[in-house]
Amino acid sequence: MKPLAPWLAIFRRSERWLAFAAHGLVVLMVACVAMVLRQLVERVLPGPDWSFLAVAGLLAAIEAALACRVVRYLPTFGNDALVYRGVEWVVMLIVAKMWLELRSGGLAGLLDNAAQWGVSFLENFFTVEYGVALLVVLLSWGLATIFVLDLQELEGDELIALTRQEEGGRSDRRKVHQRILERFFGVGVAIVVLAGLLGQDRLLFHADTPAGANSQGYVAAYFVLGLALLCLTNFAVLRAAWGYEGVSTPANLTVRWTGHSLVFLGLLLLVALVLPTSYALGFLPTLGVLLDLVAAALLFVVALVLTPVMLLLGWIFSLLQGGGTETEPLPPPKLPEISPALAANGGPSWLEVLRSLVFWGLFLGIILYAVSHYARQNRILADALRRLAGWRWLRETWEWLRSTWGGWHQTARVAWRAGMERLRTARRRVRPEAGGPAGWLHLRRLSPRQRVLFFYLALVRRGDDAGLPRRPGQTPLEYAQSLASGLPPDPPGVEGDLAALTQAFVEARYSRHDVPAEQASRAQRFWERLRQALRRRV
Amino acid sequence: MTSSYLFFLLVLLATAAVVRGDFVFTVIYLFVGAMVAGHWWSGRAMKTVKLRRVFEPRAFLGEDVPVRLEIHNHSLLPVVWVRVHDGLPLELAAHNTVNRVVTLGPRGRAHLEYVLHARKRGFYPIGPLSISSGDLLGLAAPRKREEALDSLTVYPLIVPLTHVNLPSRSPQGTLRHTQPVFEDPTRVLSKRDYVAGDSLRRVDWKASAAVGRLQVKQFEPSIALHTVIFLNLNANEYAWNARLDAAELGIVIAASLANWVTARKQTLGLVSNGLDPLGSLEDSPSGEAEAPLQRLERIPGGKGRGHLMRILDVLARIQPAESVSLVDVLRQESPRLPWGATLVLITGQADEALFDQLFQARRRGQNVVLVIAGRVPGGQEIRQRAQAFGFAVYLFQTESDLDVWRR
Repeated sequence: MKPLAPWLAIFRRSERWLAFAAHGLVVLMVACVAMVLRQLVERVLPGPDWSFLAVAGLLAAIEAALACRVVRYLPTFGNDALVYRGVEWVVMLIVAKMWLELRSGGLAGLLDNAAQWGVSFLENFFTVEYGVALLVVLLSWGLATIFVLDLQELEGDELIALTRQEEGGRSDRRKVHQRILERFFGVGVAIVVLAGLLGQDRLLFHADTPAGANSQGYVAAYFVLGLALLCLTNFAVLRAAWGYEGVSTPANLTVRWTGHSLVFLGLLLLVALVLPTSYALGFLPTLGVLLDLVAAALLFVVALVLTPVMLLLGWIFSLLQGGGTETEPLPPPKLPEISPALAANGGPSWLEVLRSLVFWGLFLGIILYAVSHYARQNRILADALRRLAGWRWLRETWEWLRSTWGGWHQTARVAWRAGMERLRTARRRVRPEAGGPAGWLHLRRLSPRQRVLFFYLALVRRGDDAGLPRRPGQTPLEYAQSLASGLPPDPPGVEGDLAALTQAFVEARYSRHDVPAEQASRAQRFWERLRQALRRRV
Repeated sequence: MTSSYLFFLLVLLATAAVVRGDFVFTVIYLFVGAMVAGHWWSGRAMKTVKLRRVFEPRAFLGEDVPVRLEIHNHSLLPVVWVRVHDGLPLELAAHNTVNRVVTLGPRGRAHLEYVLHARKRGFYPIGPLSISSGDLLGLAAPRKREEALDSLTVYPLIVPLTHVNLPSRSPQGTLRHTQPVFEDPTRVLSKRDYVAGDSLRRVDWKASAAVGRLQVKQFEPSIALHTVIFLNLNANEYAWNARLDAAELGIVIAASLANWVTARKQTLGLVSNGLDPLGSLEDSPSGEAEAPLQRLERIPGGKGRGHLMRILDVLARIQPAESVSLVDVLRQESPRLPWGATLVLITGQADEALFDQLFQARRRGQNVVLVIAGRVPGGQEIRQRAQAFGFAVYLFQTESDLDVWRR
């Protein structure tokens, strides 16, 4: 046998992890279903403590997942598989009975009841409580088995690689993924209906008992887990396809896929919880409010534009009339207001209207998308629709709206970019080399050489202010001599400072080596003292 | 997939209308959000992921061309998976595709590298480079996008030639010549004393002032080698059992000669009746197919490295095909060429009609060199006829025969 490709090690590791995760999700999903069933049983048969049903469903799901892995490679209707299943069910029946008996009466109760089984087995063994528990266990076990069998069809990437190398057969995993999707949706809709009925107290038998409060959370959890399962199964389908085609994948793809799925589903759940799930206004009132808002906004804009024109005209007319007549001032344009809406929960009207708008908007959007998708899938219907007179007008209007919106969007984008570019250019122009707005110099941004030059030139300027200007032909040393003769004798050492600053300037101006920062600091100190001296002279 | 999703969505909506439960709408939002967000995310990924293939589009025979595919995500949203597929020519690569899946973070980059081996002359389209991506849940089919094709040109083998004796009578070039009729007034060879009868224009006044006697300039004779290579790739004019090899040899000879002429900074042109996949055989703007003689591959005379590369580009792409004959090509093109030009004809056979045209070319003052590529019956007879007509002929059966131009 040929050695397997290096990328197979990645497949092998990711497959094991994903298989474990997928099975775990299935078990949790079935547990959510079991929770809803428990709620239903509690409503239908109140009295006994049915809290164990969820745990029973969970355990049955785990057993189903494990059993499927054991009988995986056995022929489905072979002796070994049938024997295994038979034994499995017998054990489950017995364990369930033992558990019920131990819960209700302990070991003594179990022994007492066991003595009765011999008398009238069917009546004493298969009690109502036991029957309901078996039903829930059977449903949970069945659901988990169906899902796990589908998941098993999505495994086997190592076998795929071997098959591919030996040019064997292949399976269509996309269909398996579709099947899982449909099962997930089907079960989901069923528990949504159940939870809805439970929540609305519409059962005929026990309408006076309180509604089940927690089933809705389990329904939501079921769907989130199911969506996570779809993410994993989609990955398994893609991975197998890549394996068949010899497409290499990065080692971190599994981690990335898992991480992104979790974040995606988390954000989705967050948005779903935040969005409004009820509405204060009906559809038509909401539409009316929306049209009112749009009309008011348009009027506001028109009023805003016309007000200055009207004011100007009014002033002109007042002049023509001699100014004697007083005219009423124009009312200012008003912001659009909404009509008072019913506040269902006592919240502000704006919020309720916004919630209703969002709700109906989403609702209509879903309907329209579903209809358009259906029309796209059915060509005959689509062609018939296109032939309708009103349809063509609708389509042209829609195209016009799209192109207009596209044009505005493009214009706005171009204008924004141009504006930003102009701002950037203006900033670059205004900023001098030393940084900061025009005219301001930041000494800290100057290099040591530039700082020495700055201080010397400041000295020359101060000297000019003090009546000791530098002649154009004077060298720095000559200017130092003429400036020294005009400096006051106090404080002593001023002439030394002048000589040192002049020397530092000559070095900074004409040398090529780097000027150390210390020299710039010393130049600053010399300059400070010389400035004081020149001030005293003035 | 989307149809069943929508079906269940509508069922949920109906359920919501019946039971009027808030949580049903939460579930609906989950459904719709998963589909819409997933769809939008994968669509955005297709728009914001940019691909670029970086490689040197020209290579010489035997070189390895490293190719780098750069994949860049311009968006702040990560791209969970994108599959990159690049089609490669089998002649140049070990596998005919490059297939990889990459995952990109926000503004992330990835690159793939592979090597193409320039094993054979030709013009090879590289690609198409395509990417596909999909949503996390697999509710919609993966989307795909293709990039434009690139191409790699592999130049023909160039044999380094050193002693190619191509005749020329074009005056005033850069190559030395012996005949004084081709004196070049820009190349002063020496000076001598004035002799009665010398033109006063030749007097070097400065030298005369220095010496004290009249001195005249002597000029060096030179010629220009204006060469046009006629490469015959008409498949009918090659022996059928060695057509491809002989035509390839002809292309190698043409490339080697072009390199030699250009290295001497001489003018070189190319005319060929082969098939160029990038042009020549497309219909004219008027919508009618061009006449056969209009489909010739012509490169007018030029000099320099750039001109050589242009000729090599054509020689890399050109293929033998059933086309117009060399005689017709010569009949049309030769009268347009200048007096003194050197015509190098590379063909698979030489018949009476060809010799007639060659003779006509000689009468027009053009020099002719005939090169027979591949095995041809009656080679000795061809030599004798060529000698009788007074032009050089070379018979090359393999590349090693080109050594005659390397000694």
